[in-house]
Amino acid sequence: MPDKEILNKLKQSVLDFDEEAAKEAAKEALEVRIDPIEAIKNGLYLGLKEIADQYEDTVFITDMILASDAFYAGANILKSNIDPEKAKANSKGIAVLGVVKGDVHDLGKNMVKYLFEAEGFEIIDLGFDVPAKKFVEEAEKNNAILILISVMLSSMFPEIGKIVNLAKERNLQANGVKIMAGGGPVTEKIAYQQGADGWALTAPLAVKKALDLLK
Amino acid sequence: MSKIEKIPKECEEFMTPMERITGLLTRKKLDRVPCFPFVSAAAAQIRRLDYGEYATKPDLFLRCQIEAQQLFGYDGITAMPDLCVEAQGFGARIIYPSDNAAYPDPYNPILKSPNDYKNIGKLFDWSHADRMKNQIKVVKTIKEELPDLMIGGMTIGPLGLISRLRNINELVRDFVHHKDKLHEAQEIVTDIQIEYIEKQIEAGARTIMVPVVLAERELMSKDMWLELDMPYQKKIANFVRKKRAFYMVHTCGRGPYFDLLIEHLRPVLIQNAFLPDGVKTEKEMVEKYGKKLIFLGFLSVSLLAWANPHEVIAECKRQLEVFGKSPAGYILGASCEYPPYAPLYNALAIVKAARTYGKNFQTGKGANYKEEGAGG
Repeated sequence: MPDKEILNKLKQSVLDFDEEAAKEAAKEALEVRIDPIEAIKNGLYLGLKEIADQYEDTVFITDMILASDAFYAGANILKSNIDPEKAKANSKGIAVLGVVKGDVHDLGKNMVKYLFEAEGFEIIDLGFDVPAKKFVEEAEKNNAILILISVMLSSMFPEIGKIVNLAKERNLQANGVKIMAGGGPVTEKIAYQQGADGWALTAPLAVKKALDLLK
Repeated sequence: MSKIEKIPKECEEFMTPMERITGLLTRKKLDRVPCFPFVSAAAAQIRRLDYGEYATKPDLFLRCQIEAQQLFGYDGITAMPDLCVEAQGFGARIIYPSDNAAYPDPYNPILKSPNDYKNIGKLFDWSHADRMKNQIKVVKTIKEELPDLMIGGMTIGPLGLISRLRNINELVRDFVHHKDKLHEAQEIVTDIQIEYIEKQIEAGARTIMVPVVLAERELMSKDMWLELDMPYQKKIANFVRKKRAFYMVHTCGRGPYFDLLIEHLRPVLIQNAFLPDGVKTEKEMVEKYGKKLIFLGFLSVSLLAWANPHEVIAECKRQLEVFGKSPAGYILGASCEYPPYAPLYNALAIVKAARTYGKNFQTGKGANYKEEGAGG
C-alpha cells in the first residue's frame, strides 16, 4: 500500500474515533517503514487537528476525547519505534500542566494535554489539586518552556498569581518560560491580571496561543 | 468597569418576597424587581463557619441561610449547601474542604466500571442518605420560620448525579461506548430523584431548580443531549409541573441550547451564565427567547467575587436596562451560585440595586408555551 494511503488511513481512524483502525494503520506504517514521526505528524495529527479546528461548531468534548483516544492508540505503537534522540530533536519543548490547588476538575486539563502532545510538546502532567510550588519546581527541574495552568473554580484564581510570583522569584519568565492560564471561569482579563503571559478560551485555541507565544 | 457616583434613594417595599415572586410568575406589577443572588454556601460567612462545618452541620446551615436572608432581604432561598447532597446518598465519599465547596473523592469513584451502572439502585438507601434527609428538613424549617419567602428545592439531575459517582473522563467515554448501560442507570436514578423532589415539595419547596449543564455547545451535540439526557430531564420536569411547583433550569457552560430546553422541558425560568447557542448579544437573547421564559441572572460569579459593591450596582443597573423589559419577565441575580468565598457585601449590593433601579417593576407576561406550537 502506498505511504500516502496509509497516512490517510491514520488520519481517517482519528476522524472516525476508531482505536482499532488506528492501531492497524500504525502497524501497517511500521511494516512499510514509514518514519513513525512522519506517521504521527502527517497522519494521526492531521485527523486530530481537523477535529480540534471544529470544536464547539460541529465537534464537542465527547468527540475530542474519542478522537484523542484513537490518536493515542496509534501513536503509542508508533512512539515505541521512535529513536529517543530523534524524538528529542522533533519535540517542540516541555510543558508542565496541572489543575491548581483546591480544584479537582481535570476534564479540560486532559483535553489540553491531548492536543499539546499531538502538536509535539512533551507534557509533564501534574494532575489536579497541584500546589503552586510544584508547578514551578517541575518546570525548573525539567527545563520546561511552558507552564499551563487549568482552573475551573473562580475561588482559585489567586493560585494563578501564586504560580506566576514563584516563577518570577526563580527567574523563569525572564529566562523565556511562558505561563498560560485557562479553564471555564477564567477570562482573558483575569489571566492577565494574575500575571499570565497567555490565555485561551478553549484547548485548541490554547495550542495556537502557545505557538504564538513561543515564536 | 463603570461605577455610579451617586446612588438614588431606595424604594419603599410593600410586598413580601413570596408576593413578589408569585407576582412575577402571575404577571402583576411589583414594588421592585425580584432579586436572587443565589447565596448558598456563602451564607456560612454569617457565622464565620468554615465550609466543611457548614456543609456537615444542617442546623448551622439552616441558621446561616435564615440569617443571611433576613439580613440582606433577597427574595428566595435555594437551600442546598453544595452539589454532593445526592451523591452522599449513593455512598460516595464526600470531601469537605474548609475553604471551598464539597466534592466527591476523585481517587475513589463509586462507579468504577460501566458494569457498575446496573447496580446503581442498590447503592442508594434513604436510611443512609443523611444529607438528602437534612435537606428536606431544612426546606421544611425555612418554610415554617419564613412563610413569606419563596423556598426552592433542587436536584442535580440524573447525569449530574452520575458524574459525581463516576470519573468524569470515563463518563464522557461511556456517553458513546456504553449508552445502554448508562440509560439503565439513568432510569433508576431519575425515579429516586423524583421521590426526592416530591419530598422537597411536600416540605414546602415552591420551585425546583435543576441544572441542565449537558445541554450546552461546550459539552455535547444537540443530538446527543436529546438521546442521553433529555428523556430523563423531561420526566423530572413533567413531575414538577404535575405537583404544581415551578420548574426552573440552570446552565453554566458556553452556548446552552435554549431552543431544545424550551421545546422539550418548558421551564418557567432559566438561569444561565453564558449566552445561548447561536446568540451573540444579550439583546438578541431577550429578542429571541424573552417571550418564552423568565430570565434569572446575568451577573457573573467573577464579578461578585472580585468587584466592589459600586461596580456590582452599576452592572445591575446596566442589566436591568437590558433584561428588565424582557417580555416574559426577569429576576435580577447571579448567573450561578454566589461564590462561597465572595464577600457578602456584593449580595447586599444586588438587593440595593433592585430597590434603587428596579422600583415599580412592571413584570412581563410570564412564561408562555402556548405560541409557536411549543405546547401548553
